[in-house]
Amino acid sequence: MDALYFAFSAIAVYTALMMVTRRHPIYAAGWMLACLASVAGIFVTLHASFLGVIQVLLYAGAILVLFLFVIMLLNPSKEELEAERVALWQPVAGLVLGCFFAGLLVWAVLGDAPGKAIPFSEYPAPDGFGSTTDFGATIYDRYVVAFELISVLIIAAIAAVILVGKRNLRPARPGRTSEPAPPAHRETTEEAVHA
Amino acid sequence: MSWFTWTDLWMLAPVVIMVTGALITLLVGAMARGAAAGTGMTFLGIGTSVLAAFVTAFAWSHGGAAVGGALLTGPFAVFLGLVILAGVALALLYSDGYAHRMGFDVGEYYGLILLAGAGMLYLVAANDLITLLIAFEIMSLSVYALVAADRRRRAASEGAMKYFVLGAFASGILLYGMALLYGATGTIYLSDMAGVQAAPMLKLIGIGLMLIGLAFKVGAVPFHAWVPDAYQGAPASVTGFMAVAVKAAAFGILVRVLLASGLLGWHASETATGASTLATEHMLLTNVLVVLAIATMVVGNFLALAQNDLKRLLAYSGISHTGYVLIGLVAAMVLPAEGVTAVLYYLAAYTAMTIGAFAVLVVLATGSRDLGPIEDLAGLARRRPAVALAMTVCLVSLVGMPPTVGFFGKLWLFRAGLDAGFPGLVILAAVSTMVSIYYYLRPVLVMYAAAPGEAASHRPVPTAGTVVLAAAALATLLIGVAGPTLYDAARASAEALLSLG
Repeated sequence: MDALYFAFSAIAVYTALMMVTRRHPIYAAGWMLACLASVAGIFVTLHASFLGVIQVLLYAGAILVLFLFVIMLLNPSKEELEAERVALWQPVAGLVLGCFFAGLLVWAVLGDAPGKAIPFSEYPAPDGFGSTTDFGATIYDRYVVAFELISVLIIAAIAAVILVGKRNLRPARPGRTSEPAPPAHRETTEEAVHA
Repeated sequence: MSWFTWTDLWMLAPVVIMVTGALITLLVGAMARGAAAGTGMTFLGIGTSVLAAFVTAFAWSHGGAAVGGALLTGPFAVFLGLVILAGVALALLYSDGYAHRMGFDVGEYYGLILLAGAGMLYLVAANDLITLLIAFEIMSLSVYALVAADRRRRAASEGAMKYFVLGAFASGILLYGMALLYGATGTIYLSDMAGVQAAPMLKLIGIGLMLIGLAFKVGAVPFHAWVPDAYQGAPASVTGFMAVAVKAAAFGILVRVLLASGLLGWHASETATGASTLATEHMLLTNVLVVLAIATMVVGNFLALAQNDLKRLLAYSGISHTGYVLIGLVAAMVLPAEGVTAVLYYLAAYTAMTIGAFAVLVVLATGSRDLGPIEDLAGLARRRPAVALAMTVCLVSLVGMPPTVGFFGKLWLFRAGLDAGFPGLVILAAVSTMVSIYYYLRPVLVMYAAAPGEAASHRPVPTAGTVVLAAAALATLLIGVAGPTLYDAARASAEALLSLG
């Protein structure tokens, strides 16, 4: 398992690097798919097979398709992509920050646990760990409150989408003040005043 | 072992009430037609918050872990819960009429305020990292959408977009910190983490990343980039709500996370084993907070000097007040009880005076437009002397002048800072306060000295908003001088939190 784990990790890092360095968003999305799939592989090697399946279904499936839809709808032309220049300091700053945090993490782990690297084989997972049964039993028992809170979060997201995206927020109805209520969907030039 | 009992349901009742109220409001909003619907939903929401406040005071006051450790109730959660619910109720009350004129008196607007309130309420009592993050997201997501509520203005979408993108980034950092914290301590329960020092460095980095994520939400420099745009873009009613309630909830959980570090009030003499590592970490975390506090106070106050838009001015003022509250956290690193007391007192005081200032913007919104530049207030004292007086009280309190609650709030913060041994920080805060007099008194000057302008008509103000304004101004004036009640409550809450561990 150790070898597989490190192989998947290496692939994940490589594909992530390729993703952020691609110019065309479609290629970037392709590398992202590979990256998400290798993360699913990491989950499986860590005995979290259910999580691995969900990772493939949700991230590599649903969310990536959403990405592709957005890219296709925007359909950036070659000129638009070429026109977008990245200043040199941006990748340099990103690299420095990334190295700083990675170094901090390595330093902390090594400092806290010097020479304590234990192979996975010495950490056997309990029977049924990470399986669908185990997962379901945990989520509907011990973490039932978290599960219910997630549904509240989804309600909030739905209400948020309606508030932000609905075309006519308020159907026409008599206003209660003397002045007519402003139409909900109107671009004004107020920005100039507010800027 | 059963993970859910009737007691747990009672402990969750405040949050359940808020969510139920939000669902009913959403349903009413979907079905109700006519001008009275907005008022109906307003008072439905206020009723929900008041009921939730009573249940919070009863259910959470005894304290202790509930719901299998997911909640840690107690006076601390009750104190901040009541501050948050007051913010929710007042924000709903002054929205009556205002939301109608602005064109968003729909069920989703009121429902999202209640849902945000539910998330905040859970957040200040959350004890495990999982539900903490979900509650944090419920709060954040609702507020992002509320910022964009006024869809006629492009500035609203821009502010909401910036807030959303940076907020998502902050949530990611928060989550990363949680992962490291869990890895370092092996537990998801904040109350169990303080004693675990198996991997102190990893734990410190985890705490630090969570600190960054929460610093975004309270608008601490250098994580404040979204604040001016979101505050200015949002309708005044939403800006007031997010200024007070989001800040109270985020500072509440920040105190709990710092407590989980096990470094709060740590002294070299207390622990024998690993003392040198812990001393280094205590120093590191304290210094990070000191730098945050200094940067936030200085940047907030000096950038506020250059502002001419009222909402933007209050945005930078909000940043500078975050800096003052951070002094309380710095003090808490050495003297936990004093520091946390000062933070709690200041959050309550800040709620009163800031809601008051935004209530003025709400009641004076002309037609379907918020007040823009400071000159819009010109001649207000002649046309509406009571409103001008209330605004003056709130601004004077934001400066921190003596009879008001803002003065006492600053007094406790500065005293905690001095007692904890940070005189330089307190002197800097005092100098910042001097600087802030200039920009807080500019609107006052315009209200009293300038002739009424053409731009603002200062139409007769809606009653609900004036009630909020009067209540906030009275609270600002009276809480401070009426006696030590609020301070005692804050002190008791802080001590109860520290003894719960």
